[in-house]
Amino acid sequence: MARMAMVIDLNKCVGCLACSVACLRENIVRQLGDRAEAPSNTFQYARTRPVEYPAAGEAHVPGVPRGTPFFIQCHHCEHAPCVAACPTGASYIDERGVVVLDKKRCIGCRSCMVACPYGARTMYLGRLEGEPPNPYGLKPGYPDKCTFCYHRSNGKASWTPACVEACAFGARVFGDLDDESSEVSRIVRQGRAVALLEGLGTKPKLYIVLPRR
Amino acid sequence: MVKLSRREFLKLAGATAAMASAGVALPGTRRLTLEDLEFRASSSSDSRVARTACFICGQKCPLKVYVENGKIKKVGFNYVEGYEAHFAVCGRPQTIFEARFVPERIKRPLLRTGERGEGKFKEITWDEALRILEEKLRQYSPEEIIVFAHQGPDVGLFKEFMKKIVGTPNITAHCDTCHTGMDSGMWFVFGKMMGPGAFRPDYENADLVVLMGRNPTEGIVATPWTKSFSEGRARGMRLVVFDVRETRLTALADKYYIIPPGTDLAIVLALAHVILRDKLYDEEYLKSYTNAAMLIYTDTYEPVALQDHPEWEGKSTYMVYDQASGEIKPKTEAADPALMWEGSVDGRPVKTVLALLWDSLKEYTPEWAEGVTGVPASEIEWLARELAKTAPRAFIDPGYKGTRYYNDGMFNRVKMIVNALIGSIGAKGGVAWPYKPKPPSPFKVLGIKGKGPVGEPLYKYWEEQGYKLVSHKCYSQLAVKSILEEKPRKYKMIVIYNQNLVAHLQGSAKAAEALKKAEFVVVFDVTHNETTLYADLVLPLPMFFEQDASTIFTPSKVDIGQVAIVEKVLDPPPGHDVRPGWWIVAELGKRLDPDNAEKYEALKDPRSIWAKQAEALGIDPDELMERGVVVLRDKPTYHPLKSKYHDTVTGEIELINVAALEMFKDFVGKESPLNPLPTWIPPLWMTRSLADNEFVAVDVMDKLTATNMWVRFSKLTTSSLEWRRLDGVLIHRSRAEKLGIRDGDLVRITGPGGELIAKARLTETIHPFIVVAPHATNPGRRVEITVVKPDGSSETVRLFSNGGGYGLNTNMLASFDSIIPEEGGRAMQCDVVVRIEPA
Repeated sequence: MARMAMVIDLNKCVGCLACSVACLRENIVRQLGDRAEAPSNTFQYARTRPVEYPAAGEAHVPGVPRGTPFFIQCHHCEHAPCVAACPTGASYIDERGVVVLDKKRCIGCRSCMVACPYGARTMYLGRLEGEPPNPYGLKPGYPDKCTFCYHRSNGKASWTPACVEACAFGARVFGDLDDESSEVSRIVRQGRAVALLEGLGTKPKLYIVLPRR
Repeated sequence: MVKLSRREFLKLAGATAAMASAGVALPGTRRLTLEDLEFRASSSSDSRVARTACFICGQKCPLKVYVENGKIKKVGFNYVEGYEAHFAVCGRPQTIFEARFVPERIKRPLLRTGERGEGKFKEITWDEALRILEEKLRQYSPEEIIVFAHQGPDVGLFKEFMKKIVGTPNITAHCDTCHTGMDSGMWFVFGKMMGPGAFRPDYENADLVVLMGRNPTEGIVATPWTKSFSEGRARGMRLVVFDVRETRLTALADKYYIIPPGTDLAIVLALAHVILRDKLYDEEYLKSYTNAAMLIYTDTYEPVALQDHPEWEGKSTYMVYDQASGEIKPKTEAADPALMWEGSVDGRPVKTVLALLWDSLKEYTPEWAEGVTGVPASEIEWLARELAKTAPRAFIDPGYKGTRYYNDGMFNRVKMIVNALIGSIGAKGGVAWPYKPKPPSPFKVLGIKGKGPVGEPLYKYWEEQGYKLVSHKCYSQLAVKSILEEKPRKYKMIVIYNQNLVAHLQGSAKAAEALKKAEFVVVFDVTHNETTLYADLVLPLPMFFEQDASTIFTPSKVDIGQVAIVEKVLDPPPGHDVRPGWWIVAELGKRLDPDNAEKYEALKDPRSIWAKQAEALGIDPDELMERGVVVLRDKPTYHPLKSKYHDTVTGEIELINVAALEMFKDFVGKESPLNPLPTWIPPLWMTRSLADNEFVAVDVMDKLTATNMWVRFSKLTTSSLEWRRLDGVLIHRSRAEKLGIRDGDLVRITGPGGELIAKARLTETIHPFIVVAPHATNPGRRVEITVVKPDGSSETVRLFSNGGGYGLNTNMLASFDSIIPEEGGRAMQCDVVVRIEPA
């Protein structure tokens, strides 16, 4: 067993969007040789997509700098509401603690999308030619979300998700919480990182190091 | 099982041994990274890792691109082990897997069939295209030709060809629409025009950084700085930002202030005021490295006396008041030169430079600056004290863009004076100096000499007409003026290499008019744009990652002498018959300079040229080829005088420029960029009040956008702008509502040089005076290009086929005539008042 987790350090993140674009390439957009086939509103389907808190137009919240970035993406909860809500067992937590979808069992009911408190799941209903960029890539009609680039694991204990690899600023760290020597567990142990909506009891595994100010 | 060749295995084993023995990864020991090996092991035989450098903005960040079966699998930053903090790439090159398919791409050479500007072309062969080009280059005399050249891997080669073989003296880059305001500001401090690449902001070692008019998190040509910035920030560097809008940068900042556009000058004047008033300056630094102690006659603003510097060849030393002996003597002989002193010499009143500086800054109190900018005086006082307290590990960022407002030159000058006062120029954690190796050009390597430029460059004429501080490399605004006014002669042939002149030039309509006026216009570019419409001949170039470059490169903002190669990652998409610049130069060279035909043919083997260039720099060519990037130094240069001395008359950092006191004496007391003394100059828009429907038009670089080139046509770029509600122009909600404009409405924006239709996005995150959007996200009108193919079929493409196109380009709104004669006719692209109404 392992508990794969990710930390995003907002002090290092400059908001360059390399992570989102790398994710789109890795998981969403299909390179067909003479064109790139992508959903309309492409960015909405990036499995890690930036939002600003507070959102544009909202009142300024004291203590939280306007424009503070946050990423909508799967938190790979240990008590995942999407897994609990899935009527067929298509959504499940694998032995590494990654929340994944077995497309063969999915009936497209979207219960998981409704259940996710982080708004992590999308479903694209348009048409796309060609094959998904990897076996866990976006397929129209199925709920889609971050898999920690599970397809890159190749049976190894750890691997590097596309967004982590693309971040030249070292803002994203990925690893096993159960491995005491991993940087992820070190940062979490030090208490520098927070998880979001912990009060819901979801036990999320996406951690944020808040801007120091 | 990972399969390694023996060579790879040895390298990896060597690296492991080295790391084990030294405990650290030594630079230069490990060539193939584990990721590379894994990629090779897990991929099919058709996989490779290409080493190139990104040309989307001007920086040329080294890249590793992993390709498999014609697909781009990954894009990562290439770096030298042990120096990771000096390398990074942003989100822009991540888009190349999609951006290479933008519908706007030019697929084959095109010949105009309709009127100029109409966008009607037919496809022709490369042979035919070269024949036409050769004929035109022979038909016109070199002096009748103007070359506008901006970017791409072969732009340097192309310019050298046009200068040496064709012989035109008129070759201009774009920087008079980019940073020359900064350059001329720096001239006053360092004695020569110095652009953004001349400085290395040492964020990594700084404790306090002030950013004004510069955003390393979104701006272009920034990423290695951004990495250093991000590292510095994570280490605890404090950050204070002045900007016209809230961005990721202001969110990162410890403190930020949203100020009216172009008023940064008031802030730096007030900072200098406080530093002088409270004597917070670094006395030792000022005495040693600046002309602060220089005595000046206050009746004529002349130095008391200049004499040859005893040690620095060609430099002058000057008279100071020596506090140790109570005498007036040359600085080089004085034990303790006085900084703040006034008295008389030969019965005439004299003051030190520092005292004169204080005189000119006396009126610019923090309270005055608060009145101009809205930033509380107490905050300015605080910042001045913090800068002085934290110095020398504190500085105001040297900046980048310097052609926004009328006062950019003065702003940049005073900003650097502040850095000098606190002693941070040349300090570790201050403004350090980069190291930029210059490989010999391919022409030099091959021994192609040519006849050199023939006749007088056109800027000479404008200098005679009274234009000051003209950059001899960048005079595109003046070049267009020359075409329009036929001065000093009629210009008949316009050559545009990878520059979207119409979108790039302040007063786009005039640029278009100039192109209509010429007899022959040839454009080399990757995609169609606002400029290709006006070409007679259009020659398609590959995207940067679809070719080997003609030369090796130093990325623009290097600090430790980075040198990189640009190698082909993959072929252009099917149906694109595009040729790299070196191929075109080789073919033209053989036709125009047949004696050297063999040498031109050698241009077609760029890698052998790279090898010779590398050797000339003392780099092992094999190492460069294999790693893609090497470094030549281990840190930037830290010294106030850079290497030995500066280019000023005194060789020192000049707080008041000695040459300017003579050249621009008449400007003392005037609100002019040429005033030798610091002075407030309001941005042009401020000379009258804004009506309810009037705004200052500002454009910015966004995370995935760059200059006017193809990345703005990418679906990913457009989508990222839509996702973040930047797919239009930002207008402050309070002001939009007064005008009856709702979010998402189309608005008409009218400026003195033209109008645009844009989509309004309402926000509270900008200064209410401005309307702002990412640059070049509006082509001004619906632009369509129709191309007839040899088989008679035709294809029509619209600019912004992938969506978007409702943003801003201030060049289309600004008047061509409002260029600044005092600063070489440079542009002021954001000093534009526009009217906004519902469309």
